[in-house]
Amino acid sequence: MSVDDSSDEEIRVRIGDVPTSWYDNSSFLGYDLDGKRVEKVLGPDQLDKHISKSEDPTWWRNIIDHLNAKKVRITDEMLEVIRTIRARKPVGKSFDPYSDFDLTAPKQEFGLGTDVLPPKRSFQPSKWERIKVHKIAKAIEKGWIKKKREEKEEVFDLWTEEIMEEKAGPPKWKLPGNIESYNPPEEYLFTEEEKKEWEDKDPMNREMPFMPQKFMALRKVPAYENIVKERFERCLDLFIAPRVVRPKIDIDPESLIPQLPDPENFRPFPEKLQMKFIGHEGKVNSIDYYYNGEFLASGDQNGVVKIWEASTGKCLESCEFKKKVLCVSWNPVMPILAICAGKYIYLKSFDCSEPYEIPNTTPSESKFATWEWENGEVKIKLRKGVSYITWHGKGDYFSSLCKRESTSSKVIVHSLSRFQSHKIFSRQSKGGVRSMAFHPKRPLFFVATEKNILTYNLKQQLLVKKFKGLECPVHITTHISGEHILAACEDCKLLWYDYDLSAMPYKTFPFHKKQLTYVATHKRYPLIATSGLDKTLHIFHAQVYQDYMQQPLIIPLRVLQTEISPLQCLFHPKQPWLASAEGQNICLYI
Amino acid sequence: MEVEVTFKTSLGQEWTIDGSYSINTDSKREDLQDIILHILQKSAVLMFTLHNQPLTNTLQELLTSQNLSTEGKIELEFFIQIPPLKSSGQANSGDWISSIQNFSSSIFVSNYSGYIQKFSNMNLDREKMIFTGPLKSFNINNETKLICAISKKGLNSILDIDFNIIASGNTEHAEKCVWNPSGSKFAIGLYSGKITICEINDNDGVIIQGNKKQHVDTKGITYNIIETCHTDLVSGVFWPSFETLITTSFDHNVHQVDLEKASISSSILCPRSVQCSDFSSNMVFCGFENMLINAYDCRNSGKIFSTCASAWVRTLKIVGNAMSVGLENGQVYLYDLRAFKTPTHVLPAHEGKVMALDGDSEFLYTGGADGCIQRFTFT
Repeated sequence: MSVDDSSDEEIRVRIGDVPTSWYDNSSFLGYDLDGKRVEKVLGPDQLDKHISKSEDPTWWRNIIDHLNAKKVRITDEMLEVIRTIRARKPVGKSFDPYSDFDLTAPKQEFGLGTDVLPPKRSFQPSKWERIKVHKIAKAIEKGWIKKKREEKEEVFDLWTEEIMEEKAGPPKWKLPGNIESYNPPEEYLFTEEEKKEWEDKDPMNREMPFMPQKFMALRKVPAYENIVKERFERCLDLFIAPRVVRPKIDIDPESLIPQLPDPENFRPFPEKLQMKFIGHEGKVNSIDYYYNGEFLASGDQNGVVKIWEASTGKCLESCEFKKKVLCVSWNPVMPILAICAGKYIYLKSFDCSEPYEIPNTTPSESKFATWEWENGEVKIKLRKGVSYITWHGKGDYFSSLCKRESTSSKVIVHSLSRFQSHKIFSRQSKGGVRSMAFHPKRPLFFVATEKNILTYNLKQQLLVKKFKGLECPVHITTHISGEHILAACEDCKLLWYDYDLSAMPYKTFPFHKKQLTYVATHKRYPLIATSGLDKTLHIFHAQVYQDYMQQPLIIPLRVLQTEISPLQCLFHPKQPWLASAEGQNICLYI
Repeated sequence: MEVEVTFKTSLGQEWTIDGSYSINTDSKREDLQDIILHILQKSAVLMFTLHNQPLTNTLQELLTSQNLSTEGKIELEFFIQIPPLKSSGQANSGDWISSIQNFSSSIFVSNYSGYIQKFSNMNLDREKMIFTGPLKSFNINNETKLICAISKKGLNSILDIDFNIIASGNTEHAEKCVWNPSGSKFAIGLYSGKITICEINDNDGVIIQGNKKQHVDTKGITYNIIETCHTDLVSGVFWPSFETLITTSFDHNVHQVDLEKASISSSILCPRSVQCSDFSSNMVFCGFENMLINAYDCRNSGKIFSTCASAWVRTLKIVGNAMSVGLENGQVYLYDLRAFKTPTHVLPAHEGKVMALDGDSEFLYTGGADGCIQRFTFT
């Protein structure tokens, strides 16, 4: 081990590990750094030693340093160093072997070897502690270890001001009146009978705890004998039955009702009657907007169908049928209007819209329907009167509802391109069919009976789902997203079904006072409208989110009063306008 | 209580009033008018405004409505009120009127029966059935004196002033048409939201009625369609300069279209669908179905003012300093553009809705759903 010590430089004789006994016969001890001989320093002979011992008490301090070839006198400091070394103690005054152990100092400071790197576990969280903590946490979680609750003994001072603030103050003493006076008026004094009556009574039942007495002077008033008892009872009363101030619950019932957002934030929505389409002489049964909102078709009780310019209310065309028109419905893709009049369904286009000629096709034979083509128009004859029609989104298929038919033949699906009609139910279903609707995106068909809404997959030809909880629905429709179904019922309720959520209604809206007649949804704005026989139209904001975790936001916005009970209400395809069939007129709310 | 008032006007030097006057806050318009006319020794019907709000009742109410106190000085602006209108003639068109234009001392009227009619001094001078369906709109160019007329079904024709058809063509369902300043081209606003720029060519005209094409002995029309203009019905088209087209639509937008690039250079978003509009001096005035009337500056797309009528705004026309507005309930409101909050005059013009308006400094013409054309004179 090499030691970088400056004392190495003081050694003159550079013989290294060569034993000095080799130089016993020579006059020199060795060689210095320059290669010159270093002559031996001769020590005192025996006689000199003896003399020095007797004369110099510190003779032992004189020694010869052979390595450096000089005489050295040992000082006290040298002596101390030698003693310390002999006692196997560390040398150096500045070194304190008992200094405080510094845990934070790196180990290198303690001279344990500067080359040794500290182990990784010294600066990592302890693995064993982690295992131990995990075990304890698991035990607490499982309930094996229970934390003891420290019970604090509550001691409170009854007479402190803090407590008195929380509790009600003591009952006030009744101020003394005339009867407590030491010289009361004569009328307050007891008669003999009253005295006897007072004394016979049980002290608990006495009206007054004392008998009024009369003294002629104050100095003659004796000490009150019951003072101690009275005070004791007072203290007892306060202690045993302390009064507490109970906060009076003063909640306004109106404040418990959740605050609905301001309808002003949900504009635009229909608010006011702005226009009337006047021209029908009979009661308007059905209305429908052209797919782009340019025209409005209407059919009335007298069999008259009118086409109106939707923005101005001008009647552009009119045609008459022999039977009353119960339903009109525009094809969602082509400029064809389906008209239900009696047993016939007429499919025709009008001059004001884009003129369209339905191509002629050989119709297939059917027991339920007979197809006739003439000059680009089609007439379908059914066995019984048709009351309702609804188109599929792609414009080729449409279904018709014949209410007087046998239950299995009520619903018939027709194909415009093939001139075909199909009865889709092979056997009688329980309850009459009341309404139906196509899913806007999927091959599903919804049929509303008296108690249920049945969902059929048209491709697989299977009953897929059954929605319950409704009573005699009048009309059903689907939300533009296709995930929600709305049903207007005779029991004055509007039911909202979430297709994926549950078979029971997600929300029920019992706002109408009489039977509902129609429910409509807007294709662009988050709006729903219902019409009822109570002469009202209810407008709702219905925001449906694409995030399935967020529930639809449904808020009632406005109730519009009508003069006549509307039979149908319908939103414009693009504008936030609501048209309703009210008697002989069609009213437009904006 | 009194307030210190100074008067300002743009009527000219002879109407200038110097200094300030201490006026009682209970004074009304008539009192202030008397003061001004007494000072100036003139005679007129004056209207007073404070920060563009008209003085309709007392001065104190006007100050209170604007949160002003009587301690400071206020500056009242006055101008000669639009004189009241008097009905001076009536004519019948036979069907709902779709459009009216005042041109060289006559009025031209189109109706829903497809007729275009010329009335001179409220007497029917000439008429011709141009289309079998409703004639939705027409426009007469001052330079060439040609008439472009469009029907609802998309048929369009160019006529001369004597109603002779010069050119004809066919496009989609159309709503409005307008000539460019020189009369060489005209623009048609379609129901689908597109704009078609048309010009006459020398080829034969082709008309499509029903599914049948029909050749006619007139010139044809060439169409250049601007596809990406609006997404809904175009309710107004204006061609103020050769390179710029201003269009309004049911899709709530007012677009400024650069015709050289055939793209939209700026847009203004309105609160509702623009039912009717007019353009004047870089300002576009829009009427909405919720009874609102807004004016926007096309240069910076900013809203200048907003006011409310009493019914659906059906038609709108700027006549000099006045804005005339035709409503669903048959009334015509006349607003002074210098004090636009309150209508200056309310005219019970028609029994049905007011469908068209036009006018000049002397007359105001209105056409309604009752088939009547009314003429009002500014007295």
